[in-house]
Parts: sequence; C-alpha cells; structure tokens
Amino acid sequence: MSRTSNIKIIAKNSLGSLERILRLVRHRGFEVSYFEANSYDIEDGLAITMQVTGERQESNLFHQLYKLVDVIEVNLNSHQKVRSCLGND
Amino acid sequence: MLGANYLIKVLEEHKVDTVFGYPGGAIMPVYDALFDSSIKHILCRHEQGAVFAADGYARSSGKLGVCIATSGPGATNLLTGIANAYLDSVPLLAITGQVNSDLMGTDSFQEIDTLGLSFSIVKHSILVKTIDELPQAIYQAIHIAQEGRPGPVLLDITKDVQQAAIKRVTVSLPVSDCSDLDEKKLQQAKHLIETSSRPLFYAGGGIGMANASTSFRALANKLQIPIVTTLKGIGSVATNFSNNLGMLGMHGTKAANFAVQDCDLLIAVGARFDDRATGKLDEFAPSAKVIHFDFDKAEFDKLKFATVKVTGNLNKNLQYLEQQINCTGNQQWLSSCLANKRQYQFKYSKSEQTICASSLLNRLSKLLHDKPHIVTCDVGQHQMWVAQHMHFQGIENHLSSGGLGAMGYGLPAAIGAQLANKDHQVINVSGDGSIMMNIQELATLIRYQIPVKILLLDNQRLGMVRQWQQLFYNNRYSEVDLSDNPDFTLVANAFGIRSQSISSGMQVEKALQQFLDSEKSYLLHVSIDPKENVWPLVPPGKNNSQLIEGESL
Ligand SMILES: Cc1ncc(C[n+]2csc(CCOP(=O)(O)OP(=O)(O)O)c2C)c(N)n1
Repeated sequence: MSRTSNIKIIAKNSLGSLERILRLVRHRGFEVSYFEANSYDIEDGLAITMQVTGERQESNLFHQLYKLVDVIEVNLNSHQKVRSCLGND
Repeated sequence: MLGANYLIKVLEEHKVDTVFGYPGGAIMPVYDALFDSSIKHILCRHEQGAVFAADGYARSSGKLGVCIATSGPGATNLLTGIANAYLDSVPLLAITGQVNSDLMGTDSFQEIDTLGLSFSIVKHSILVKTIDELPQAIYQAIHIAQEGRPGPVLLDITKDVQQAAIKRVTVSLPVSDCSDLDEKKLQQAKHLIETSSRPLFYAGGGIGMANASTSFRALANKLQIPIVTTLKGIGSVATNFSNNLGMLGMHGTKAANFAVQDCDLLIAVGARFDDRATGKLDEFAPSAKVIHFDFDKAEFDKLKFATVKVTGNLNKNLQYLEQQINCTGNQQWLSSCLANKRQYQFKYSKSEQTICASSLLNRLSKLLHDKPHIVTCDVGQHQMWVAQHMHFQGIENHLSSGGLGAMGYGLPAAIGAQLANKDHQVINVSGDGSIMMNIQELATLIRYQIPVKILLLDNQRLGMVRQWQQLFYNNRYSEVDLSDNPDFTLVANAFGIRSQSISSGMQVEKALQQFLDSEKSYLLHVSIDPKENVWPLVPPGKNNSQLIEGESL
C-alpha cells in the first residue's frame, strides 16, 4: 500500500545537490508529488519541502537522504529528525 | 604553484604513493605535475583497468585507491569501476580532467557531464570550476572516501583550474561528532544472545571495511556460536576455523544454508541481506530474531527487520560485547551445525584424464597455505569455485567483485593488490570470458614486471550463463559458446608472459608447482569440461534450504 510522506530538507546548495536528492528519491522507489526549494539563511543553503509517495519504508528513504554529503538536516513528517554528523554545516 | 601541482602535493601529504591512470587532453596539467612527483603512476591500458587496479590496491591494503583519467571517454571508461567500488564500499578517489570551465555546456571536444554521470554510483562527487574551491574539494574528497562506510568519490577538475596559480594552503575538516557506543542497544543485543538457543553469526564484508576481524574473531571464539559468511565476508574468520560453516546463499554450503534456516537469532555483522545471500527473502531465517551491526543506518530494516540495530564503531561494539557476555552458545546447536558441516563437506575427486576445477583450486589452496597470498577473481562459475574450495586466512586475501559482479575485475585488481603487497603471491583466477574483458592489462604486468599469476579456467563457455540456460531456460544455449577462443598461451607469450596449458589430471601437480615457483608473471591455462556446474545452487525464487545439487563431473 502506498503512503504519502512530507519531507523537509536543509542542504548545501552545491553543484548537483538538487539532482542528487531527486535522483535518490526516484531510485529508492518514491514519486515526487510536490517540490519546493528556496534559499536558506545559512550561506549557500537550500530549504526543500517535498511530498513523496511510495510503497517502501519511508524511514529507509530518510536514512538514504541523510547519507548525502550535501544534506545537513532531514525532517520526515515533522517528527523524525536527523542532523548530519559529518559536520559540514 | 599550479592547481595540478597542488593536487599532487596534497596526495603526497596523504601518503598516496601509487596511482593508476591514463592521460589525455583535459588532464595533461596533472600528468605534468606527476612527472616529477614522488608518486608512482601506473599506466594501465584502459581506464577500466586503472580503476579496478586502484580498487584492488585499496581492498588489499585498507588504504585509499586513486585513479586518474581524462575527460569524456576517459571518464566514461572509469564508470564501471566506480560503480564496483560503490557497491562493495571501497575507499576510492577517481580524479578526472574536465574541459575548460568556459567550454562546459557547449558540447566541446571530449566534454561530457561527468558529474551528472556520477550521481548514482558514488558516495560523493565534486566538480571544481574555480581555483578557490580546489583545496576544500581535494581534502573533502580524500576524507569522504575513507570515513565511515567507505566508498568512491569523484573529483572532476576543469583544465583551467588545473592550470591556475594557487598558494599552498591546508584545509582542516571538522571532526565527526557521532558517538561510538550505544550501550543500551548493546545490552539488548547481549540479552538476545544470552536468551537465544540457536544463535548464528552472519558475517559480511563490513567486518573488513571496519578493520574489525580481530574483534570479531575474539567474540566468535568466546561465544562459540557458529558462523556463516557472505562472499565478501570470506576470511573474516579463517576458512578452516572450526565453527565456520562457510558461505551462505545461492552457491553457499549446505551446512551454512541449513543453519540460517534453523537459527532463532541471526547476528548480522557488516552484512546487508543481499538477494544472492538471502534467497527468497520472506523465507530467509524464518524463525530468527535479528541483531544487525552496521555503520550505515540506511541498511537497517532495508530488507529484513532487525529487533536490535547497532551502529557506530564496529570494533568497539564487538569488543564491548566480548567483555560483557560470559555465556557460551548452546553446545547442542553448535554440534548439530558442525555435524552438518562434516556430513556435507565438499569432496574432491581425482581423475587422471580430466581436470576438475574444484579439486584443482582446493589443491592450489593447500600449496599456498603457508605463504602470504591474495586471490582475485573475475565473475562466473570460477568465482564461486574459488569461494567454495579455496581457503582464506583474512578478508583482504580474497578480492571478488561482489555487489556489481563485474567481469574483468580480476586481472587489474590483482595488479593493484600486488603493488600494495609486494611480499604476497598474488593470483588471479579467471574464466575464458572474463579474462578477455581486460586482457590488455597483460601489458601492464610486463611493463612494471609485476609477478601476478593467472590461473585461467577455460570451459570454452560463458559458464555461469550456460549453467542457468541449462537449468532454467530448457537447454537453450544462447550466445554462450566461446569455443573459438584464441590460444591463450600464445596471447600471453605475445605480451612476453610465460605460459603453459594443461588438460589432464595427471598434469596438475607439476603445472601448479611451476606456476607457483615462477618468479615472474605466468599464465596457466587449464582446459575444463564445458558441462561442469557449480553446486549446490539455490534456484531463483526459492529459499536457502531448497538448494539443488547435480552430479559433479
Ligand atoms: C561485465 C559483465 N558482463 C556480463 C556479465 C554476466 N555474466 C555473469 S557470469 C558470466 C559468464 C562468465 O564467463 P567466464 O568468465 O568464462 O566464467 P565461467 O562462468 O565460465 O567460469 C556472464 C556473462 C557480468 N557479470 N559482467
């Protein structure tokens, strides 16, 4: 059964970071139904809001997203939250 | 200094002493900088050879593997090797030249969007278009490739950046603040282990990546819990360690697969529940709770739910458990696993006429036993025979393309492994299909006098595909016949490599001795029966206890 999830991401706006995020979402089995990206107040930052639908476990998508080097923070349905520990912010 | 010289200096500072590559227009400044650097550059004869060699170098030494290529075709030729390093978590730095930044996006000569190509096969990739970004990019790339779960990082540097002036700067990267020990989880793991009656270790390649073999062995020894390994986990405990039941999965041992199906606690250590290992997932370890140790949280519950998930430093986690747990596993369970191991152990026949690949590999392993050695494989039946019939003392002694399953890996990987381990006997076991995928690297062996030995198991077929066509496609042999192979001994000789061909059992012993005694590279061509199959086999869609077996010829 497919579920819809809301994801908020804070990412570095480096070359390709948006493509990486969208590619990962598709490859891991989710479809994007809403996408918005705005510049964020940290230097070179991006604030992304996404709605995705898929049959796979959303927690897996969440951990995969968080592994992206450019991703600083991921929020899933506003309750799960992970901050990157690579310290790249 | 110029950007290119700066790059080489930083590599030197990071103790990179060997790189593998192939020059071209957009990477010429880097090759100019290499000209008088302390780094040894190995010119492979195809960029795929260079990247696989860097991979073999990294896997066998634990150090960073570095490869270099030009833009366009140089970069695209690297892709298979980068993907291989990605799926097997190998610390690799791939450096590619890119056309001048003002030409990017104009379809200029040898321009390809390398960054765009990289996304799905790298841990990270960085395109450097201005000289100011170069220092951070290089330091970050080297760091990311090796930290945590290792993986390939691609650094694509435009030619104008390589040629731009730069001051020498060092970059310090922030240190990770991930905490290492989760005592609560470890206590839960301890409790599960202590209360289980049929526990089983499922050991994967992550043990090698985390350099945790010693801690794993100490824990396994203390707990007396039986062990099964994945293809990449081979050597995490010595093959002949008494409680090691062997490899699980599609071509695993009966003892290993039966134990997985029967256990009530599966302790996965650096393993990722790959479909080749699990067979039909719903029926994999059906009565077991799972404890999963992995650095990468994205592996948890990806395919199989784990009751306890332990992340962080594997060495520390295993050491903690070893100190905390005092009980030993259920003796009755261990005995029944070991009884299976004895009952179903592989048997080796001796024939005077034909050569049986499994017997030959087992014999080779015995001859190698007390010498430090590394075996690299290609992909196919011979790869599985190596996994089944050769013995390994350490995880870094067996190099196999596990995740990507890339034919052509073996010879270049052996080159890298030999350069990183000068005192080891390095052997590539290949098939007649696979060897042709990177045969040009024979020239690299000769150029650098690299004493890699090649054992070529020639069944005149794409054997593994033929086996599947026989078993699952009703004997319809489509495009697997290689009976028009060249004379491989002559091919070797043409490159300046000594060789010998054997086809009868009587020749094996002497030929293996000559093969091993040769101080230089050597190709031993072994004709085997085209109909030989790999057994046992878990058919697709079946669970691991539904394995089938056929006659060994
Ligand atoms: C690059 C690549 N192409 C195709 C395959 C599919 N494949 C897997 S095993 C195999 C046959 C390998 O033949 P050979 O090297 O002769 O080994 P054998 O199975 O005969 O031991 C093929 C074609 C692959 N793994 N890698």
